[in-house]
Amino acid sequence: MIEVGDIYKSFGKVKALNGVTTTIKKAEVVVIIGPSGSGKSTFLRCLNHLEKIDRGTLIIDGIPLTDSKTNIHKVREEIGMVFQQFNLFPHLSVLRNITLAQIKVRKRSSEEAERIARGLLEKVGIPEKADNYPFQLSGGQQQRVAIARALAMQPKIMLFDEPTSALDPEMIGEVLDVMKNLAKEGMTMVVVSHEMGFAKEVADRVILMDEGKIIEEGTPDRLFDHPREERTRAFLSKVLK
Amino acid sequence: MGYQLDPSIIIKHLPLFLKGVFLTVEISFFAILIGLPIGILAAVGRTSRFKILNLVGAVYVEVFRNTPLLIQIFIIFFGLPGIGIKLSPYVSGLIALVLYVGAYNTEVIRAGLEAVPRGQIEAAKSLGLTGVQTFLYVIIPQTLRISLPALGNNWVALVKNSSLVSVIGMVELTWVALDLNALTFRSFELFGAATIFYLILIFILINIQAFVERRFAYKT
Amino acid sequence: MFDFDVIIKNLPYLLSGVKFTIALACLVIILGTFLGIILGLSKLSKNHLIRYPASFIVEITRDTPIIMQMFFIFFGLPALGIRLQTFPSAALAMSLFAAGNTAEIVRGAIDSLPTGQFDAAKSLGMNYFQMMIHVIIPQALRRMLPPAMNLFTTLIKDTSLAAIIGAFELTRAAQEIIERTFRSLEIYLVVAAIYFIICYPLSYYTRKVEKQRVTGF
Repeated sequence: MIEVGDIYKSFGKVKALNGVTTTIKKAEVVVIIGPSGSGKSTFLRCLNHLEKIDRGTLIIDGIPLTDSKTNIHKVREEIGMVFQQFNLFPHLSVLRNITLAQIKVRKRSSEEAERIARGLLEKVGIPEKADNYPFQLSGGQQQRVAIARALAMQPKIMLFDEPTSALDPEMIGEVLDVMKNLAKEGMTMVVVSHEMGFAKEVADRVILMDEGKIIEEGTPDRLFDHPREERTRAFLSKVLK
Repeated sequence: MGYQLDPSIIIKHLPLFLKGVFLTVEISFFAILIGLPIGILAAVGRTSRFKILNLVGAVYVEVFRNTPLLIQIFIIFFGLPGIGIKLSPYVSGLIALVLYVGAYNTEVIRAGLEAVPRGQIEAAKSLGLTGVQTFLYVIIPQTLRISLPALGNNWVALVKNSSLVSVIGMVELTWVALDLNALTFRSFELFGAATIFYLILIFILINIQAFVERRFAYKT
Repeated sequence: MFDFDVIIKNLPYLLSGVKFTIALACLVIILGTFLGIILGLSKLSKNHLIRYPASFIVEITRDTPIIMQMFFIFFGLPALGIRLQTFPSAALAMSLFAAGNTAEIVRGAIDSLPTGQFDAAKSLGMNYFQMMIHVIIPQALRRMLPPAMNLFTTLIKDTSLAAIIGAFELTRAAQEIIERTFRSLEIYLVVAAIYFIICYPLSYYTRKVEKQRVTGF
């Protein structure tokens, strides 16, 4: 579904991605771990073209992202993204946050958009908050709304950029539960996270990145219990103390 | 009959232009210098417990911020002689600029004063510093660093506003352009050149401001 | 001796000047805001051909005194064959000044928004216009209001500069009266009071808007 062919990305002198190649299959749940500065977030942001790659090929669902003829907005409709800072639209109600893109981008009617929105709010567990504004919600609730907002577009792929890193500990669970259910339903997910428990439970594959490259990848059991690379061992020992 | 552009007119009168620039810089400099303590004084008045000081400060700020600088200049230069006070163009202009920038400084410094964390005063008191010492050595330095960006903006505006003192005959850059224009009628070149001089002046000032901000200002 | 009589006798003439002051201010605010928004958005453009000229115009109009711009337009442009009368010259100069400053206000407000808002809008598939209209501008508008209102107050005061090139408005009316009566102090004090009455409500309201921060944005 996603074919990443030897991509490179630099910000000025900083080489964020140094030749990354991998393939992500439909319904696969991939968790990316690694030290800060390893390029994990950059990699994720390249997948929906929030960052443009300097070199390499990136093909999403058969469509090459780097082709100038590609309509990037259409591609983005099929990829949902959830951010560390939630990025809900503060001037709109929760319901409107979820229906806005449905109506303007997917061109749905407002009745249909609202129906889908309320259904998703139910699914993430906060149907009663539809008419509230983001500032009235807790962090965990805001992130669940953000997930609903992305899901409302009915994307084929969901990207998560450290979705729980900005949350207080007691709210992490409610967000991870939503993500686990999503995985069980067969969504293709690429998750950058430090939540190793989540990875062990739900991931089909774990990728360790460092210095812009993939150091090692494998099933969570294999990678966590029998890491092959020195750097993998070093990172895991620091994180899984 | 075409208008022949004649840039040599600028070169011929360059010394006079530079004198104008120098005087613009000079009057702006003094206005900024004197306007700062005035702003601090009025800001202290505005934040004091005494209602009367508060009111006096408020009246000062509101009057000078809600009336045109030009009118203020006219009142000082043309109006005061009516009650026997005759001031030179330079002094009139300076007083007007000082009072004007002082009023704008007041609000900025007041915000800065209120932004200094309460803990600073408590720490100073517990170290045994008197009120005045606390104010001079702990509060004011921090206030100024917090207010630096906004103060810098006031000063850039001041340099632009200094052009108004030309209308009461004070010799600075704008006056030079007007004077030469009356003499030679080469308006396009003269006012174009004066504009460029101001641009350079302001550009330098903005860069100094950015440099000083990077080094000294901090946000709470 | 303070001559109240001269004030009362000439107040109607002064008020006739006020009409032009208000007209000039309104014209300049409308033109300047419109032009300023275009310039401000242009400054944010990734296209160099749009950004550099816009930046250039903004810097020139913001970093030079208004009367210099008035002088240049009124006295200098005739050299190029463009002869504008006093009121239009003042209006043009002030509109350019207003546009340059509005552009900075617009650019500043949009720049101050968290990049996450742009990211979220883009990741939902919105194009530039959808993103600006539904997500960015509604939030930026709130941040533009206080500095814009300060600019309007400044512009009302700066209409007094039009008198220097001879345009008829409140200050010019005052000058004419003083030429006849020689009572500078009384007349200019009244003029100051009139400007104050016009500007103070605006300043007061601006401060209220500044203090009112709607939670969240």
